[in-house]
Amino acid sequence: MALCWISIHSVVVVWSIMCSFTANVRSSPCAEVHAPSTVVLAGSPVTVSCYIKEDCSLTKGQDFHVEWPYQANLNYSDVANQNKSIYEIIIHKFTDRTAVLHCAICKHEDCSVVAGVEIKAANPPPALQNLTCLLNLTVPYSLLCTWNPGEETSSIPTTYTLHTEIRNQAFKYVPPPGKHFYRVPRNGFALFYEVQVHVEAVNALGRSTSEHWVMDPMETVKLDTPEIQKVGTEKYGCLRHKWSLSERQRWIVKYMCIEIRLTPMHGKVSDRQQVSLRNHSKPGTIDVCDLLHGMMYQSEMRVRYRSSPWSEWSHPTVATTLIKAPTGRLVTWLKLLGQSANRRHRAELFWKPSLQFRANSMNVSYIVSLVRPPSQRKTVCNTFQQHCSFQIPVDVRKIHLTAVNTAGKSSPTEVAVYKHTEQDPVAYLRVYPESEESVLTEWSSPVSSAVSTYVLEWKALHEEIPQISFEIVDKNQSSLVVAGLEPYQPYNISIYPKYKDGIGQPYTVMAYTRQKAPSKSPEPQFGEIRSSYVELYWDEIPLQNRNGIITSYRVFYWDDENRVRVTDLEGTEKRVVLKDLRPSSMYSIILMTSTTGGSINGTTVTVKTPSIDAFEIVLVVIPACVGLTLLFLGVFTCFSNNKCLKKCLWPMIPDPANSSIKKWTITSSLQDIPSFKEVKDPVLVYLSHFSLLSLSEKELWKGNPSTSEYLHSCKWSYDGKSVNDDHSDSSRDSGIYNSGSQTESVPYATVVFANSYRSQPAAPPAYLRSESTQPLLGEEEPSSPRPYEKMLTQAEPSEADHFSTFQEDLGSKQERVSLWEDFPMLKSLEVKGSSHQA
Amino acid sequence: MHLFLELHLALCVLSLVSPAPIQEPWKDMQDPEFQEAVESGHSLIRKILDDITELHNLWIPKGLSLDKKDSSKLKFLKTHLNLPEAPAIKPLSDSFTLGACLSQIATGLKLHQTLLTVVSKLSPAKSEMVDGLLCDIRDLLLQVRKMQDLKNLLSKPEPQPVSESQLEETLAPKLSDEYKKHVAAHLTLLQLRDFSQEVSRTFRSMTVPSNSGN
Repeated sequence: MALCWISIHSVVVVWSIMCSFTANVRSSPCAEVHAPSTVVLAGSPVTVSCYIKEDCSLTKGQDFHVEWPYQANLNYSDVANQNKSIYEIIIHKFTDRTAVLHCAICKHEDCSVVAGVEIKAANPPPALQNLTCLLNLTVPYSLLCTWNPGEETSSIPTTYTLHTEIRNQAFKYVPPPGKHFYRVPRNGFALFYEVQVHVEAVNALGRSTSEHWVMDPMETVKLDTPEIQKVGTEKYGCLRHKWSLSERQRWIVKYMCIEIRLTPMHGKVSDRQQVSLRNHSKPGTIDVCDLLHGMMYQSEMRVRYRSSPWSEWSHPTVATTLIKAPTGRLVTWLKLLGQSANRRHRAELFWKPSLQFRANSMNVSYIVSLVRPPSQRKTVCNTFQQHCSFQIPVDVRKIHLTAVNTAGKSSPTEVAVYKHTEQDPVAYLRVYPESEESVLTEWSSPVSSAVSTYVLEWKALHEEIPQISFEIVDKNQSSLVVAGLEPYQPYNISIYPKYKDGIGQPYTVMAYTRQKAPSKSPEPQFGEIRSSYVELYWDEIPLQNRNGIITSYRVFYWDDENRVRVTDLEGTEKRVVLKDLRPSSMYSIILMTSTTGGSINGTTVTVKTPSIDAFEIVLVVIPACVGLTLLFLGVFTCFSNNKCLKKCLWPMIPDPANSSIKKWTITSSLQDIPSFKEVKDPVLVYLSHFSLLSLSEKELWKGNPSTSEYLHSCKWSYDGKSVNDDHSDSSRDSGIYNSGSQTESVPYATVVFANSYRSQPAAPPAYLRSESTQPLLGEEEPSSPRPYEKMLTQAEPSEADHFSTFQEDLGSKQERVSLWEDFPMLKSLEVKGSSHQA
Repeated sequence: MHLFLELHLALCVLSLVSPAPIQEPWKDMQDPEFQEAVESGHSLIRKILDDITELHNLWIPKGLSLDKKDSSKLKFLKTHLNLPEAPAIKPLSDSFTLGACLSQIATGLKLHQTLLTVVSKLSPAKSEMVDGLLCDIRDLLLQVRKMQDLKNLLSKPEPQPVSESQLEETLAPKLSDEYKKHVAAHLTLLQLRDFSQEVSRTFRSMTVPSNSGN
């Protein structure tokens, strides 16, 4: 069927080509237009002729001429022809893809098109490129060949033919139009034999051929994935692989390129290197040697035939090489922790394989033994880990570390025990990020230069059980690149100088290889919320989420009206108080956390500040009011009663004019005297001043008749315990005076406290005669108080309160005046008292 | 005397250490290109053997198996059909040279090409499978020709044992029914399998162990 279709297609193409190359004649009743071909080579000259028939009605007996209208863009010229009925033109360079030439008979300017012809310009097929073939070994076998046709000339059809040739036997295949590939059937190629392949393109103007390619189709096949049937061990360090091609390709028994990839399954113990073997092999067995002893390997293989594409990798197969006893030394790092207690040190021993160490098995355990001279050993650890904690007695100087597997033991690695651990640290340790997985560490030697080596130690802080890694560094070295770290994770890097007799103090730095913004920002919690401030606090970001060293926090907060405010905090702070907030406002808050690698915003939290509450009002307003009130009252009182002010501001000055000698207890008139702290008990106070301003006359005379009587009979008593007789006499005499008598000028007496002023020692009270001649103040005042007639005594209060004004008869007045002459001060007092009565 | 003995011993040791000399028929086969062709031929003959089994399963009813015991029962029909037999291939020796061997293999392959073509024409089969087998036989023939070319052993082409038309004329009247057609196809495949096994053995004998492997 395909052959039939191909043959029909070929016939059509050939016919079309034949037609295109034959003389192209287009005729009408009046004329015939003749062109050499309807398809011409682009850019070539074309001659077109128009033959006017003799019997054309348009030309009979008329003058006419022939024109080629609508060809303004064509550069053509007339060609003289001896035959007058043939009009010929030549187009010097035909470049149009398609052009239609019309022949017109014109009478004067009246032209009629009588015939025409369509001509196409085209190129021969371009050179074909990139012919490739690929053998497919799936039944039915086929060889898929493809090529690049180059720049196609679409104006005319092009036919492609794929040719194959096997030992003088040729085959041709024509793909469908427009297709540039062909699947050659099995008979068109041979296996393991050279096949010559080329493609030919043909169109109306020519042909082109690709390069002839000689190849073995088997060299183009991508074989199926091979199968590793078995991996066994017969020799130390070798694995024997039995392999084959896939079942449908097992007939191929030729040498092939194979690649075997062996990956250690237990990279922790020793070499992590992948082993790769390329070889030529027939399907069968192949040994891969120079492998680690006792190591589990995962084997994969792929295959190709000569230069053909590689197959896919086979399914992995796992096998273990034969086991041997461990060999080589271990690199150790012994740390004594703290001071010795009970003649023992706490110690941690870390180790790792040296470059020469070979575990020679998958599972290696380690034995740590304390060695006491001469050869006493005590095992303190038997572990599969690469570190061990134990206690060392102070007399132990050496430790032996031995690797053990099922095949035997390694020779012990000797570890010296350094007792002194308090020696100088390095001056500094600096860590610089170098890549995503490494940092450069730099340190300076300690002050004492007797360092033998350094131990650089690092551990990942983000791991639940941090694994300590270490490196022993030569004393002349002052920097080291620590690799194999994870980016954005914290590491503690320490350097220990190692001295001849001990180990120095570590110098530790926390470092990151790379930093970035934290994975999350902490969720702020609200503390105290008041109308004008809000307290925020938050927890530390978990170490796994920090991604760097927290350098700062920034709190953005804004109110309902989007007035944004910012507060910055150090990275170490975890609490902030947002002040100057407005009451009853909703605030949105975002906490931004930053590292040197970036920042991250937390979630927005909102808080509403409360309005000012009653409690706050009470706290603020009431004290203010009370204060104001007290102030006001105080000021008012002081200014309205200047006595009080006087009392407050200066000591009491007795006014002899308004004084009479009297004795009373402080309890009865405490409010009239300034308060002295010392005077708290009801003790006797001796004053020279006494006033009755606050007592009305009625009050004075109120009381029982006996009092009045008593007053009239002048029998008022005086407690003379502390007052001498003279004074009592004077007192008694003072009750007998005439209230109506007044003198112009009276001498006055200075009244002295019988008791001391404040804390002065008490002196016997005495009235002294005043030398002054100044008139007494009391006489100026019309409202001077009445004189006291009797003093209250503590012992007999019933007898004390007797006051009276004396309405003496005028008969006795002269005697009294003569009496007062001897006591001018008392006299003046009486005069004053009389004036008051008046 | 001692010197003679020592020399003798040295020669003995050398003879033990040095590899055994390659015998005459294989001397010409050490050429890598020839060995390459042998390997290719060996691969193709294995493919032909695989194809025979597969084609037999698809083409021939289950009553006729490729088991030799069963095929011995068809002696009468084989004689009746008188299918042309392939030449026997003997082990390589001084008397049966490489040229003769390759010539016999080529003759046998051409015979089976003809036989299979005619039988498949008379007993319609899975054409793709038959075509595939025919192509494999052709490819193997190409390898044989290549070997002959490499050793300049192809002075003149082998005579055609039987032409297609002749065989078709002879065989068509005998294959009157489906059974006989299937028996003819079965016997053809059986004969081709036997021949291929002989060729496979021959190619294996031609293979010189190579150090290019592991």
